[in-house]
Amino acid sequence: MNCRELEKLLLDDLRAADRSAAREHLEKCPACDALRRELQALRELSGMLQTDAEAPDEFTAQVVTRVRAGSNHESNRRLTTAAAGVLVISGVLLWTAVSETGNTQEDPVEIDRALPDAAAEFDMNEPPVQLLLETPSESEYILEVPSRIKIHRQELHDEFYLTQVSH
Amino acid sequence: MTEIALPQSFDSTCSPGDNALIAAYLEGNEHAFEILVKRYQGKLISYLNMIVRDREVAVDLAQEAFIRVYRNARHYRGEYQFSTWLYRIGTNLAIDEMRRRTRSGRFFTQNVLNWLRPGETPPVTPDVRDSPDRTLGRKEQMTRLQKAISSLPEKYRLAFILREVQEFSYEEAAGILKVSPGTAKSRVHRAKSLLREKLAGVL
Repeated sequence: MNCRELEKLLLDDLRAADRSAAREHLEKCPACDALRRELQALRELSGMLQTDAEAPDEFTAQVVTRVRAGSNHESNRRLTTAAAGVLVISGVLLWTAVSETGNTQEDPVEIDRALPDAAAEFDMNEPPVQLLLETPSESEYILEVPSRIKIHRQELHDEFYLTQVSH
Repeated sequence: MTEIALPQSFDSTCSPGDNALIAAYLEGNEHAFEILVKRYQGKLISYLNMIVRDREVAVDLAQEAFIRVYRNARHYRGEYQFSTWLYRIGTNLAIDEMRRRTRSGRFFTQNVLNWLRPGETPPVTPDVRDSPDRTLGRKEQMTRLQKAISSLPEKYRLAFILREVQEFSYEEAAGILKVSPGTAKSRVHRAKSLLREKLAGVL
């Protein structure tokens, strides 16, 4: 057995079948013996790390409360998240559409009304770009937008992730 | 899923397996779900705390993991262990949390330093056989080990914690991380090699 083979065995937690051959090598090789001692020390220290923390007294009760509250409001929450996502994207599309068409608007325009107007400015026959929108609640939406639209991420709330997934 | 009848109340002599508890919960026994939570809450919080280095966040993520288990229990077919499923959800939540922090500009090293407040030491199972001098040295070793683990690249850190700290088998760790057992093993090996380098003179 050479040093490389022994190192592989030691990293893999030496099995009983290999111990005899390993012992023979370790008696002759100080470097491998040092490796063995270091890995053993690492294993001992790691075993002393806390693996079973004390949960707060009310942990289970809070989980139950949250699941019960969630089951009553789950569908509403999803709608709210979807609506928030659409509003955010609508806001971005409005900003971009206004910039690209060169229009200026002195008065603020409500976001949810502006999107149909913004979309009408573009040729919807252009090949769309697919964007993956991930919301804080782990919901995912695939948005298809005309490829000329540039989504500016800084316009999005930090907790929404937007990734281009296709051209 | 195999149907297993469970008594409405569980006494100290009854220790149903995880799959039995899931089955009971799906049959309408909410107490079964509470038993599952109590069974894993401490370990899951410990595991998540080692990743996110913030106990409050770890508690919150652990609660979220159980909530997702509750909501998706009907999809669980028992093809892998319940703990694998629970830890996989927890791992994904922790990874999302770390990536969210990166986007927000927060750094983990600061959390590690905050966690180790002056006078505090990492939780260690006390070994009363040690002399005081050796115990002091051991505390310093634990501190450095914690820091070294936190500094590992994510994929090696997760594999190492699951295998060497939480003591999952390579197969279980692979199931949690959704990689092959061979990949899980090589990641643990690489983590050990890196930790040896980082802890040179400490081990």
